[in-house]
Amino acid sequence: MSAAMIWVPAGLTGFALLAYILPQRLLPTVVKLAMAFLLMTLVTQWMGSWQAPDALASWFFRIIAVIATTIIWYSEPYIRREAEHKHWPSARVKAYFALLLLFVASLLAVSLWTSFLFLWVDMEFVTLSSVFLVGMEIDGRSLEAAWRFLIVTESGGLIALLGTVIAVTASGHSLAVWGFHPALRYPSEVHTHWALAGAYMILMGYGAKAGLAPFHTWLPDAHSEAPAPISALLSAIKLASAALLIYRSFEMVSSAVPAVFLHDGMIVLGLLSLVIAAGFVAFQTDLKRMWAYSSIEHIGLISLGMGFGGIALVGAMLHIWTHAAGKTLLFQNSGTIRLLYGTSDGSAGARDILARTPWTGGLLAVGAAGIVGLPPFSPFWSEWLIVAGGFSVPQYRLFTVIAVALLVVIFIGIARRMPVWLFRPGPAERNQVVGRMAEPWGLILPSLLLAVFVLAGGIGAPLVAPHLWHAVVHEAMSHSF
Amino acid sequence: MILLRMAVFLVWITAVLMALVKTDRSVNVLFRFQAVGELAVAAVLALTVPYAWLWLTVVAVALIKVVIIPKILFSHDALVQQDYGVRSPFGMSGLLLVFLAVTVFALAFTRAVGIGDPVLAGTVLAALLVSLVHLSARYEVWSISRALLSLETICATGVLVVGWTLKEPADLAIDLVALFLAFTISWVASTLMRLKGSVDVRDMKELIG
Repeated sequence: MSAAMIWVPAGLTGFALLAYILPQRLLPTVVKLAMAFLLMTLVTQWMGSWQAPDALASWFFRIIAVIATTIIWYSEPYIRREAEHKHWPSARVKAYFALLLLFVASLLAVSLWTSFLFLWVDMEFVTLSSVFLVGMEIDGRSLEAAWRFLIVTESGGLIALLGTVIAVTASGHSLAVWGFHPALRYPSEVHTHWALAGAYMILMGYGAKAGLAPFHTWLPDAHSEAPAPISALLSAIKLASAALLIYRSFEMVSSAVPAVFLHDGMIVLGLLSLVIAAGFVAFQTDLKRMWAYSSIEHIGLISLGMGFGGIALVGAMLHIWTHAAGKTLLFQNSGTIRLLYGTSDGSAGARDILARTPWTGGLLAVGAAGIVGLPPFSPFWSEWLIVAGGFSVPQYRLFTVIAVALLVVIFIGIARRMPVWLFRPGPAERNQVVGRMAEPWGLILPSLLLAVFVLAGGIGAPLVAPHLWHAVVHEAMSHSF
Repeated sequence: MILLRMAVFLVWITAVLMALVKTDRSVNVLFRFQAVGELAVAAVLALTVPYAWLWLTVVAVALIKVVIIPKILFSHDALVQQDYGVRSPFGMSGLLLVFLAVTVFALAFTRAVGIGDPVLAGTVLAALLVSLVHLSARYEVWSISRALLSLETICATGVLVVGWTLKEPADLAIDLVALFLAFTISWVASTLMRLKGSVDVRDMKELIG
């Protein structure tokens, strides 16, 4: 156990407390200090001053630290404008930042902790803190979204708890051990049927938290009604955290259960998620809802990669990063559009964005081109690895063909919708001359950094951290369940 | 073993009754009884196996679930306390038939899979299924809120029944999560009722899609 598993989440929790206790005029300073703390943890981890539990944990920690830093950076100007526009009281602004930092702290703990029981507890804190953030607008729509989010994901979470205890018990492991690959402690108490039942309960429970179909019903509402930075954090990191917990749990239980059942479970939910995304994404008129359905698609892809195993699993690990960068860019961009146009709905006036706000429109075009998997953007490389991994296993070729067909449908759906926002003026814009709008640099700069990741992060990330990447590949190829 | 079965039966029967009752007041009383069921499971285990942490669980459940959580939930809104009646897509007798069916299924399933005491495990599984049915079978916000907390108590009981063989404390952190969950439910439910002026989830217009 490393001391970092305590001081990293605890440090950020301290900043969350400060954000809530100190007067609002000190909030920008606290937020900047929290960002500096996050960057410090990233740099010290990079320099080897402390170790994450394994290469995969280290990879995931760095993804969270980078993405969360850009989201906190974007949050400060975004919430300042949102609060001015919607007359948020000071207490709500402070609560937002306190909960955001708590949310990030608990996500960091997901990457650093290794006890399945405490990971469940931590995942509950992730969910419950984000329920408040989803309902932060305190209007009818956001509270309805928070309600559904709470009921669906908490039902899932509780099933995951029982599943975890059953799976740990029935596979002869210990709840108290901190480590993802513990030795068998109670070999005489291995029960295959119960271990499998526990594993499927974990798949259902954490699957609900990951937004995997058919447990995804909370996701489009929560993502579209939450403030934009929260939508980004939910989509980029929270979904992947839950998927990673399924993977870690399956690795543990695979000593007691035939691996084919575990692989098949992840593949079925992955394909179902692609079906749902393909069926709905083309009919969305609101940008945030469209990216929400796209999140279902991408978490489905990650699940498929984990199910296929081998090189596809490596692709899934890379896809956690490439999807996080792309989706954070797109949700933050949707938030900027909502602030500037008063809506992100194409049928309600968010039209002709490229001409009226070129930076925002350009970033939208880059993000959209990346997220549909066009080369050379970063999601292309990870999707390529997942598909190649699926084709390399004869019994998964049919599933891979179906997945590719669904990806093409989703690509066509998004490609047909994008011109509505980017190029086509609405009736109001056609009848009058509409000039360019001023674009606040405070909102554009964090998104520009993310656009660089979307352009070059697919190949760039393994090149920037080659040792870590090699360790991740080695771990994925050798420890896959 | 008979005491343990009786305690788990209390958890199951309260799960069934919580899905049927007509007022917030009754469902709060039943939630307390259900917590007593969980507490009794921990107490029976504490008397029969030499793990002192089980007594900590007894104290934590008594404090958090019997005393604090019902107070949090019951104090949040006057609107709930005026509500009387059952709004459900099924009639109550239909609901009872569904509960009977899922209970028979749960007992048959645990007997077929075969581990430890199938009656004990089957009753916990039956209570879990009853609670999941409850979540989609009532329209009142207060009833659905209690269904979620009932599910939490059932899962915590399941953790005790299954997890004590690990000889490790497993459920104190779970009780703390239950407390945080109650706060969250209370905030969302009371804010919803303040905004909508209704206890019926059908008054929340479905978000498009």
